[in-house]
Amino acid sequence: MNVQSARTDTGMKKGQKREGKKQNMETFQIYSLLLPVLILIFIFCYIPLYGIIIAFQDYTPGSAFIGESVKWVGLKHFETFVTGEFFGRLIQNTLTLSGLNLLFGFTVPIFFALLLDQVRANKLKKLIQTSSYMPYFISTVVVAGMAISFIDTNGIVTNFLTLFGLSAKNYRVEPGAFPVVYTITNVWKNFGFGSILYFSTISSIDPGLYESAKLDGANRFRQALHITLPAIQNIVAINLIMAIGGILNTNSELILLLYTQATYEVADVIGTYTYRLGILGGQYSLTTAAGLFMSVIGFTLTFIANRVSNKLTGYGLW
Amino acid sequence: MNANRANHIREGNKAVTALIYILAVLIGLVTLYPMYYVLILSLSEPTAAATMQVYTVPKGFSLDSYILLFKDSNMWRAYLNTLMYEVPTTLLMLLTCVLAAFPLTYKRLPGRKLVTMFLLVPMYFSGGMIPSFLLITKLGLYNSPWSQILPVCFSIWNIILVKSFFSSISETLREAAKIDGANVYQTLIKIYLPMAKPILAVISVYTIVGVWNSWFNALVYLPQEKWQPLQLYLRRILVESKQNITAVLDPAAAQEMVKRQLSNAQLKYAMIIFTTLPILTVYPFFQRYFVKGMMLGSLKE
Amino acid sequence: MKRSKKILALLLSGFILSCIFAGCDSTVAQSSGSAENAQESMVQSSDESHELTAIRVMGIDNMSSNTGKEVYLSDWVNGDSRLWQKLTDDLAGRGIKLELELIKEDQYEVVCQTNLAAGLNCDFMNITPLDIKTRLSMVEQGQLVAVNDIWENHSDGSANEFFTSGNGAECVKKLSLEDGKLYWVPAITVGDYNGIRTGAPLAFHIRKDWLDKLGLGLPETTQELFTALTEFQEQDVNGSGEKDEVISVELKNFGTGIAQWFGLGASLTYTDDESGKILSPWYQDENVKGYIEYMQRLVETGLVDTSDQSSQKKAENKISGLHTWATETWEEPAMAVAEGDAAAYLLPMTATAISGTEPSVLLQRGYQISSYNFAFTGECKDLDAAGALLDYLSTEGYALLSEYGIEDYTYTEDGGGNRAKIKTGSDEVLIMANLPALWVNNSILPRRELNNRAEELVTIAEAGKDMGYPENGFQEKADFVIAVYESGKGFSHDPEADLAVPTLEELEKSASIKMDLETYSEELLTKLILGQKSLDDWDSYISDLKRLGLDDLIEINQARLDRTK
Repeated sequence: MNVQSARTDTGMKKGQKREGKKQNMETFQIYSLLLPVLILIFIFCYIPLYGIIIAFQDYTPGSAFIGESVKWVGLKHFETFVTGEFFGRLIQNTLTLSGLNLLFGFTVPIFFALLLDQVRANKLKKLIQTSSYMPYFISTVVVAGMAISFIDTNGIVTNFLTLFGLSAKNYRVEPGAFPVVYTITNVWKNFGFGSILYFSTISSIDPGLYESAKLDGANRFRQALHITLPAIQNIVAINLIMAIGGILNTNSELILLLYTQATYEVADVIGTYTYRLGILGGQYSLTTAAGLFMSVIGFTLTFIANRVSNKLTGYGLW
Repeated sequence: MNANRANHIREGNKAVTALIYILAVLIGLVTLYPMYYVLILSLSEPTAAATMQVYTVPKGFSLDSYILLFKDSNMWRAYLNTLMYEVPTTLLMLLTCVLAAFPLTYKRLPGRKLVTMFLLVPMYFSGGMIPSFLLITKLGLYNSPWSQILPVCFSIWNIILVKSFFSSISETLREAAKIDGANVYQTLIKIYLPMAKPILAVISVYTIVGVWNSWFNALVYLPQEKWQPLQLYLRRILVESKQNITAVLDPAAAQEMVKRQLSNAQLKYAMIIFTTLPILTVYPFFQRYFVKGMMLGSLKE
Repeated sequence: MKRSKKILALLLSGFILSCIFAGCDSTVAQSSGSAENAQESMVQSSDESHELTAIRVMGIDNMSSNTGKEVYLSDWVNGDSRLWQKLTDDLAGRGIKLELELIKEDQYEVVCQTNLAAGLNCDFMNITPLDIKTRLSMVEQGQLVAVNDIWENHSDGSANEFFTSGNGAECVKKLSLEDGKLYWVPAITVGDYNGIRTGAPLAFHIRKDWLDKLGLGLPETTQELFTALTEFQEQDVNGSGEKDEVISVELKNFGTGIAQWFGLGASLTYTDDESGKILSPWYQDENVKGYIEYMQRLVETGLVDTSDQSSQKKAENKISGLHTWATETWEEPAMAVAEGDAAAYLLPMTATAISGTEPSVLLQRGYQISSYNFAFTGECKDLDAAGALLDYLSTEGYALLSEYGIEDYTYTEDGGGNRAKIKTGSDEVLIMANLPALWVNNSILPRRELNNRAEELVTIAEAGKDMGYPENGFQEKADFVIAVYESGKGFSHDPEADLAVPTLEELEKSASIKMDLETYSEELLTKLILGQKSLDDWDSYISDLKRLGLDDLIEINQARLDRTK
């Protein structure tokens, strides 16, 4: 209001100047907040970034990063990686398992948050919520051990499945069973913790909105659809974008514990292959090249997903 | 008539409610049981614990593993170390998130796209362990507890989350504050911060859990046991060789490995219970910050 | 209420922060006067420290849980270990002392890599986690000292003798690089059985206690083994009510004991001792197909554990057979039998698989070069001190101290030179009763083991007397091993160890082959045995293996083998 009243014909330039000065002041203040963090990020994230160049060298620990003694090989490691015998399979498995994880691991926390929001008994609600993120804290080693013994020839789950006519065998070595076992275990382990974010967002919705919806005759489904979901739309969007960007990442730790040679054809992903490369020894450059390859793809995917999201919903990372 | 209709709507369809409750309880059981399973395995007789065939109640009773843990003074030191890392890291994390996220909500900030790109790149690209190590050493943080705090006291993902949350706060609030003569700092502190409790609570939980579970940083930067955190210490106790026993090229090493597997069989369950109980109390503590209707009373549109 | 909580929280954080600062200051103060790394595990220097040259040693803080509680090497170093004192005295007698940096085992690999990148600051280190390529690179950059130089120019004779004509000579042949020089020192084990040089065998074991329970004789052919295993299940010998008695062997490679009955070597490429050639089991048509078919039968009948949960199944008393060291006595305690049943007794066996082919086992070489390697780094400037250390490591006194300990403290020796370990006493004595000193193996100094295998057999047989067989102990185990020693036949259990160090060129070539070839081979064997792939497509498998470089690998390894002759 003040600014507008100051706008007279003669006072326009003065007003604009004041406007400009205010603007600069504001920008300065904003950046004064931002700068310390930017510096922190620069120090700890950007300075070590030069390590990426070992993907283009024949590197061993102790070698220099730049200088005369460096053995440059250009894109050789990328070539080796991409033309490798198993590359096609690795990509396929990675995309499949990540895709399944996206489909279920992404949606289950949302459904769970919406579901639990409907529970009015507070004590029960808190109890269920607490127990939902307990699996997150059971170490992957134990979780995998449990899963393996459940699906063994005489394991609980196998016995249960025989009731439905499935044969009693060790499902750990069945390639068909692996994606199921992995996805269920992965989702089970992570959905509770992943739903915390949604709970927090849902809880900040104005209850008045629900009241007025009820008065308008909306049942719980319509309330969820028109009030709850839109409220978390923002968070869901950025989560989805990040998940798409991370499609080449899988829970390698879990896969390493669950897979066997018999299931390599569906379970061997880039992460596990790189792990075995590391054990073989001496493959620093190759593993860095593989990692760089994945990073570039992931980054590009995030970019694209963000563009799409911005165009469709107006929500995005920036 | 109207009152009846209102009642009916408020309670919703009884069948659906029942279904929802059943589903919720089922989920609760499915996630609670395995932790219960770990608990009873940790309390059973050691020989039974190696078998994993204990399903409803402990087979035999033995507190051996817990006693082993409790008696270990090195473990308590590691416990204290982790607690010591928790507070500064969480506080700094909250600070860096807010300081970085708030400026990004200014849509017309000059250089905004550049800053966003600057933030996004490190999420995907990293130089690897050795350059980070060289940096930490140059900064004099090698072998120092600060190596566990400073490199992890910021998270770009968390910044994005907080920024997203801030963006959902109506712009008009900010305009109004500007009119009242507030500068940027005052806007942040007096208006945005109080409303940020839910997201800051989430970030706190994430950070606390993250610090609690972390061990890799310590593996690389803390060669001395003195400052090592809990998870690293526990992981060390549990290092079960990844090789199969028959692949071991030495009978003495094979022997050691079998002995360790035997004694560790129960220990890992006791460890999970021991390390999880404290962390489970963290979330409920922060849960009350998820206050309903934070937007209430601020500005009626 | 809220405000006081806030104040409390602030005070708490302030307290914790100040603790950190206080801790920080003390570390800064401590480390300011010395090199970047740990002060805490350094040896206290004695009065004569100004006369002794310090050798900085970096290695793993070895741990043993043999006695029930964890004992670290650092406990010995910082405590009052008599063994450690003797070692220190011996070294002092040569004018040197050790300054130790002991790192925990799980961190050691990372510490090695980071130290390499930042610059080494030790003179002698355990380089086991560093792969060959890194080591070759270190040699190129002058970061490793040629051991030849040390024993030729700085030795008082012991090291020289050891490496040129003594036990060390063979490792010089195997581990020398292209310039003919040795750059790292391995642990060496020489096993002797009444004059025969031999290592320990590995074999397939069967549950003798179960055979006895059902009144079955020891199987002598693979068919008889099949029958016995089936009987175990049919008659539910472990009393669980389910057919869960299974054998635990690896499906992904050929080191299973059973494969050796079919005349197959232990891994993808192995050395055939008679012909001196490198062979691959995949090319041994009849043998390997016979093996796979047999294993397929076993899997089909549900006799094999395919879940890879062997330690759990051992505890559940479900394991009817497994592949392990024939000299072991540590697997039986892991198997919990039901009340009233005889204690577990794993008996090594061989069974005829193909008529005309004699069943074999895996056998360690009599002269073994261990994968635990140690080296003098480029930081070591005082080569005379290095020579003194090397000399000491080459003496019998060191070997005796590391293997047996101190006379009348950890072992007794009778007039005839027979040594027996003392089984009771302090923690140290208990550890030494079963293991070598904590500073060998994957720790700071190379082991010089002279393994009296005859003695070992007596110990093994005796051990059974405490494990449920008071009359004969594990005598049958010992008998099996004696038979193997006397025949002297067996496939090498670690084919890689038979070969010389690869040259850089060979390394490049094999690195690009190995990863995918191994993945393919392991996957193929597993899937064949599980019946998920068919033997009918055999020709396509062989052509795949060739395409992935199996022949090239054989060629490279052959060259490496020839260099050791």
